[in-house]
Amino acid sequence: MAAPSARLFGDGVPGEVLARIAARYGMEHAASGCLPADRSLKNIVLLGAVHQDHILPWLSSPADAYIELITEDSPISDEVLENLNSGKLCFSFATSTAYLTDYAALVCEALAARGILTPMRRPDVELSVHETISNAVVHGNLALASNMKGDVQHFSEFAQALQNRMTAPEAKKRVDITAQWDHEFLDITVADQGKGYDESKLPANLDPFAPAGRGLSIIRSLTLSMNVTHGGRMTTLRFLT
Amino acid sequence: MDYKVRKTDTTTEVLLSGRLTFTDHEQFRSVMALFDEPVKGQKFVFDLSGLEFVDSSGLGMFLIARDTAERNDCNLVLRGAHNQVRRILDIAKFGTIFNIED
Repeated sequence: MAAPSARLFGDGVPGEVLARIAARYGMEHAASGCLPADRSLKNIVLLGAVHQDHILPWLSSPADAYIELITEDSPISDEVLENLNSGKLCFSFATSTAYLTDYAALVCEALAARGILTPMRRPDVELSVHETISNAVVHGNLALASNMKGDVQHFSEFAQALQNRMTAPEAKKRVDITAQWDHEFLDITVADQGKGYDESKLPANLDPFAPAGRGLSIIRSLTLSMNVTHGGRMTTLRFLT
Repeated sequence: MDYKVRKTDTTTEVLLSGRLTFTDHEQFRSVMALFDEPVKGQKFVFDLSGLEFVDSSGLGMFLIARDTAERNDCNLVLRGAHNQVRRILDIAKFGTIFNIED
C-alpha cells in the first residue's frame, strides 16, 4: 500500500522511534507543536498512549488520523493508509484503549470540532457508534459470546472473562474507526480484527425481553442504515449530516 | 459507574452515577450482591438521576437485577432517568417491562 504524503506528529512517542517510523513510510515528522492548516500533506497524530483528557486538544486540530502506537513493527496498518488515501478521517486505537476511554465520545468530539455534528444530532450518533464499538471489542476482538451475559448465573463469569482478557494479547488488537461525509450523509465505519459473525442469524426486531442483540436493535433504530461487511468485522453506520 | 446505597426497613435505594456501559460488568457485580439477602416484598429502587449515559449492556444489567428481584418476590423501580438515559429506556421499550418513575 502506497503511503500518502503526510506529516507524522508524535505525542508520547520517543523522537528516534518517530523518526524511524516516518522514514519507513517516507513521511515528514515533528515531535510536537501545532498542526499546520495547509492541506498539501495529511497530518497524522501518533499517540504513545491514549488518555481521555490528554487527547482532547488534538481532536480540534486539523489532523487526518489519530493512531495509537501499539508496536513499532506495524505502527500504521495498510487499511489506515488506504482510508487516508481516500480522504477519510481515521482513528486506530487498541482494544484496551477502546475499553478504557469513551472512544465514541472522542470520535464525536472530533466531528463536532470539524462542524460535522450538531449538538442536537450528537447523542444518537454517539450512542450508535458506542454500541458498535462495544460489539467490536467484546464479541469481535475479545471473542466473548453474548449469550454469556444474559442471566444471573453467567453474569459473574462474563464480567470475570472480560476483565481477564484485558491483559491478554487480544487486548492489543485494533478497533479502527473512519468517518466520511458530504452535504447529505455522514458514514462512520467501525472495524475490528476478530473472527466476524453472520448478521443474518441475529434477531431483526427489538424485543425488550431478549437477553441479547439489544445493541444491534438500538443501532438500527438510530441510523439511516447499518451495513455489516467483511464477514462481520466491519460495520458502517449512515446518518444525515 | 459509581453508586451509593440508602436503606430503610422496606426499601433499598441504589443511587447510580456516571456512565453505565459494557466496561462496568465487574462493578455491577457488587450492586447485584445487594439482592443476595432480600426480605420478601422489599422494594428496590435504582435512582438514575446521576447517570449521564447508559448503553445496551447497562440495560442488560437492569434486566438481570429485575429478574433477581422478581425471583425473590421483590419489586424493582427505575427512577429519575433524564436525557440520554431516558431516551435509551424509551428506544428499548423498557416502559413495557419496568416500573419507571420520574
